[in-house]
Amino acid sequence: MENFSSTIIFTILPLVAGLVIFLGLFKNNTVLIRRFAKYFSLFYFIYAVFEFFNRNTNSEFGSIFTNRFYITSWATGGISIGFDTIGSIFALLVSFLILICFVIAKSTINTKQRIFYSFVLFFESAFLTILSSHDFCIFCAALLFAALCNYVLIFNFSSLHAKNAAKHYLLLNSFVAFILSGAFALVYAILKYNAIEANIINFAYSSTDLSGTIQLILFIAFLLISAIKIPLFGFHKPLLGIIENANASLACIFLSEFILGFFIFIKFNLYILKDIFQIFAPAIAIFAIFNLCYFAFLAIGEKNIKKSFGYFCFSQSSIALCALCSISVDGICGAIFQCISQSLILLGLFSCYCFASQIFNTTKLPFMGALATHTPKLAAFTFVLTLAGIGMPFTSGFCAKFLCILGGFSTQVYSQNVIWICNLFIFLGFTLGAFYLIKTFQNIFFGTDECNKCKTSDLLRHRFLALLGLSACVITLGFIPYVLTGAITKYADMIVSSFLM
Amino acid sequence: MIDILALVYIMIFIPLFCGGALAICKIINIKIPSYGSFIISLAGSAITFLISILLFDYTITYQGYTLENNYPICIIQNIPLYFGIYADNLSAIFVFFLTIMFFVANIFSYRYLLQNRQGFERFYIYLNFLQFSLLCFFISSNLIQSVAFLMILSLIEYLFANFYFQKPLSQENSKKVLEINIFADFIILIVSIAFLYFSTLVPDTINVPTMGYNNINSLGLYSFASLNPIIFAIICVLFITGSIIKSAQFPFLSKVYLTSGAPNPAFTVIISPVMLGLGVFLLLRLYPLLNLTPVVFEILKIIGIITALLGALVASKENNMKNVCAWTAVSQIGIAVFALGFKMYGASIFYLLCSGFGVALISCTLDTISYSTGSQENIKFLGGLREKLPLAAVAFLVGSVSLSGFIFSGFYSRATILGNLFAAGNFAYIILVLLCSFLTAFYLFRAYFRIFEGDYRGTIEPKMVSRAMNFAIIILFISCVFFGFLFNNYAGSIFTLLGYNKIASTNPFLNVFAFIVSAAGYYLAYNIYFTKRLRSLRTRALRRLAAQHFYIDSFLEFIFRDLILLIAKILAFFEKYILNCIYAIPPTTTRLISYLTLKSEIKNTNSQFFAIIIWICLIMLLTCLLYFKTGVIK
Repeated sequence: MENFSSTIIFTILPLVAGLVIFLGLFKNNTVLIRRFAKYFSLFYFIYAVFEFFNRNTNSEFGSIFTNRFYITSWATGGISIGFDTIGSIFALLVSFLILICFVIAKSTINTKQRIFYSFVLFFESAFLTILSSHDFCIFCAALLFAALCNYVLIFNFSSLHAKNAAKHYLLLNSFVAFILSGAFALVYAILKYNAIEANIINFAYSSTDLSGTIQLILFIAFLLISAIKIPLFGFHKPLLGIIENANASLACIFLSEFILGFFIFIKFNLYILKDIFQIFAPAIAIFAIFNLCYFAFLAIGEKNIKKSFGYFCFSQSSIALCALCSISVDGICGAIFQCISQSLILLGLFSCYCFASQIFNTTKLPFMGALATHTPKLAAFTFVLTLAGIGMPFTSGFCAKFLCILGGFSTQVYSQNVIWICNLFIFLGFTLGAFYLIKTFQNIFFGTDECNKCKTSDLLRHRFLALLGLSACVITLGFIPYVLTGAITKYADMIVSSFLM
Repeated sequence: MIDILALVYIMIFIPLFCGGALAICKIINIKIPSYGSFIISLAGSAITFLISILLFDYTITYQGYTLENNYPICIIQNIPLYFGIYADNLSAIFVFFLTIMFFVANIFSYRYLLQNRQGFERFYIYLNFLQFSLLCFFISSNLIQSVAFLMILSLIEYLFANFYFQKPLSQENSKKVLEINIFADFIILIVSIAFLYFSTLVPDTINVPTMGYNNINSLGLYSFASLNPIIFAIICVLFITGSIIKSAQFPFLSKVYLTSGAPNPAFTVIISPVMLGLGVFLLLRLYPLLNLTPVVFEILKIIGIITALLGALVASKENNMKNVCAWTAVSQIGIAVFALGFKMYGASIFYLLCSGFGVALISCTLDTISYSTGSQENIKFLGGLREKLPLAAVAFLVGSVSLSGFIFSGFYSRATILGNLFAAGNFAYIILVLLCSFLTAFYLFRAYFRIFEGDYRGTIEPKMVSRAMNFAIIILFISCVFFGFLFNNYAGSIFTLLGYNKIASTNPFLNVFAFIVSAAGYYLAYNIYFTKRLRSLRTRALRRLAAQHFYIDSFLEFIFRDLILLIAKILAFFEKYILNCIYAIPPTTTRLISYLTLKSEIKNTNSQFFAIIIWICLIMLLTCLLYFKTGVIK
């Protein structure tokens, strides 16, 4: 019951905080709203850390998270809720990303603060509900609600061009959520028919007893959701449109979408529907490798800094997807680590690029240059994050890439020749990604001076703190990756052993 | 009793401490006088130099004994990564050489940096971090540590290449350098991880440091026995690919001259075997592994000799002093790689170090000239400096003579390689090595005659060189003159352990012939650039090719930039036009269906027909989907 109550509090708290802001308790006092949201996020993040830390009985940081789902039946309706390992880690990560975005929002969100802060908190609550819910109905509702919050935020806080993209994104998400609802209804009926309590846990246990057709339908539905959120080739346009027109504070939204995509992919496609995944794994791996190279090439060729960054994000996401398809402990660990690492790095880089484009008052790369002499602090942070993105040692990027490649080699699914060919393309993707980062950094901070007419003040204090926090995280994870890998390994072991069974 | 292990750790961490202290002072805005940074850095390098001598002495005293120590620093997944020390003969020699180079660079740097007072602290911070990373690389106990520090070294090389970041050329070149280095690093990283995976399958290696060099022999043998031979060969070929890129071998020759934007003292370090020989050192470390695949040695032979010849040819046309040094270094390392291709393990190291001293001496000499003549680096605008800078002239001459293989260290190293080739009966390769010697003599004496003989063609009156700079030159001068002789006669035990044969075993007639060939190179340079009697011998086509670096740069530019951009443009076109058209299909179809449905309501027979077909198609699609596999819904 303790876990149940704490999880409920954990998922409901942001919703309550959001409602407090939305219902006008602070009477449009922007300073008060901002401070409330910021400090709430800070304490919430600290609470989350302590909450998860307390669950560990041995007080070892490496084994905070357990492998089991926390199932607690609710007497009135049988709602079961609880975070598993990956859900806990992602919850922590998202609460940290949102905290950073709230810190940055001080100078980026100048109007409609009430809507911004409340809807981001609603989104967080919906996100955590998806991570923790074991109920079909709540899961689908939270998925739709998150998409709606996303739409409201982008519609209100992006430029005019993003509105169309936001609309398409909402439509796509809703469409797939409805398909998923239908599929869940089918599973619900089957489970009820067999006198099994209908929730995701029981679905996980009895998934292998379901017919191949139903498993396939479910697999496709989940794959479509992941494909939209990660995103995969063909589904990337709406999210690209959003990133192209987003500001630094909205980075938490699209990064949360990536994380959500991975969560759904790992939990449902990889773990629960493992039989179908084994059939589709080679195809998904090839598709992910194609994604990696395709988006990396596009990122290099693109002149618009935010658009190219969007392509780069998609390319980086594909690395994790490739690693997942290896179905090895190292690969799955690497994929989760890559997901966490890339979220931190991408948030930092996107913020830096947004600050730079604010200074130059343009998003076109050819009209940027020589910013290093005017804003050395911004240059230093961008450089650190760029290095982490490339995968320099002692940054989280290195550990993530290291594990992903190791996972690629340690797979038992494919023949050695195939592994080498795949790794060759992954190497190409890494190299292209590194070239893109170097090129962008050089273009913005060196080259011809384009700062003649722009205001060139260096980082404001809150921006400095946000970037410092992100850089510190990236470097800390580079030095002590075991903080995460220790917990993830157990989860990965569980998945791989289920495949072996 | 001195604890040598503790001293080695002190040696490694002193540069880090110095660099870190300077960096912290810079960040928190503590003003240090310009000589303060210099003194801290110089003191650090002096201590490391002294400890490296102790380490060197230790390896001579305890022949064949390897100093080993490992600390687990982090665990990724279940793989412990160690920071360790593996100080054998090979490490000790390279560390000794490295500390000399840094000591010289520190002495040399103060006056040089005082010229324009730009980036004083920055220079010493980078230099100390560079020294720390290099020490960690050369003493590393395992492959993963080597790869990690290889990547950090790429970063520091980039920082040095972009030191004067206001210059557009520096920015562009530093970007290319980083790209090439990252490319190489990723290759080495991927292959290392592959090897890590295959080697950890050995049951008895679980408790040893991951990918330890002490175990590389058995790991190599196990991998060779258990892996598909082609895959094992691929691993080895990729290892040498990464290594030759790091060592600026063919076709990545241009990597070195791209770093010419670095300050001159740092550039001397960059083109020395300390930095340029990183790849070769890695190959030497992985020698037991590579030894199992004969094909890699064939590749090394060919690449080494091509690099040596092309480097020498390009240097023959080069007018920029820094670039002459860079191409000389590349050419000399090419010969060392070539020697490694013939499995002359000890001779390769010996050549690398002997030529390293020669190149460093020439580089320092040219730096003093640049300092004296107000940063004039084009040899066309120099001349007649022998009277004004006599020490520089003598030093350059000694360096040239040594590198050409007339006498001094260069003679011993070249004689060893030629002797081995002669013993193996590889006469074709002997001719190619001699051709390299001829070209080396030619271009070095060409530079000598243009810089030191004739009339001065510059605009700024040359100024006196400081004593500190001269002192640095004298250190290298002595090293260049005596290194080969001393090591051949008195410290041969180290090289014997490395499989090196003494000069006494080489062919004396061949040495005389080699001397004559080098003299021919000198004679040609003398007659073209001093007496100018044979100017008509200059071949225009060859000069043009050399000026264009044999179009290698253009080729790399095409691969690394134009081709990528071309593919990017094609994909962008696909994304913009074709994919958008595909996206337009669902809304268009929806509109079409709604239109047809509307039509069907007004009793249009054709539309009704289409509507029926569409509905049938949809139903069929759904049925196929439902009955795709089993045809049964439970």
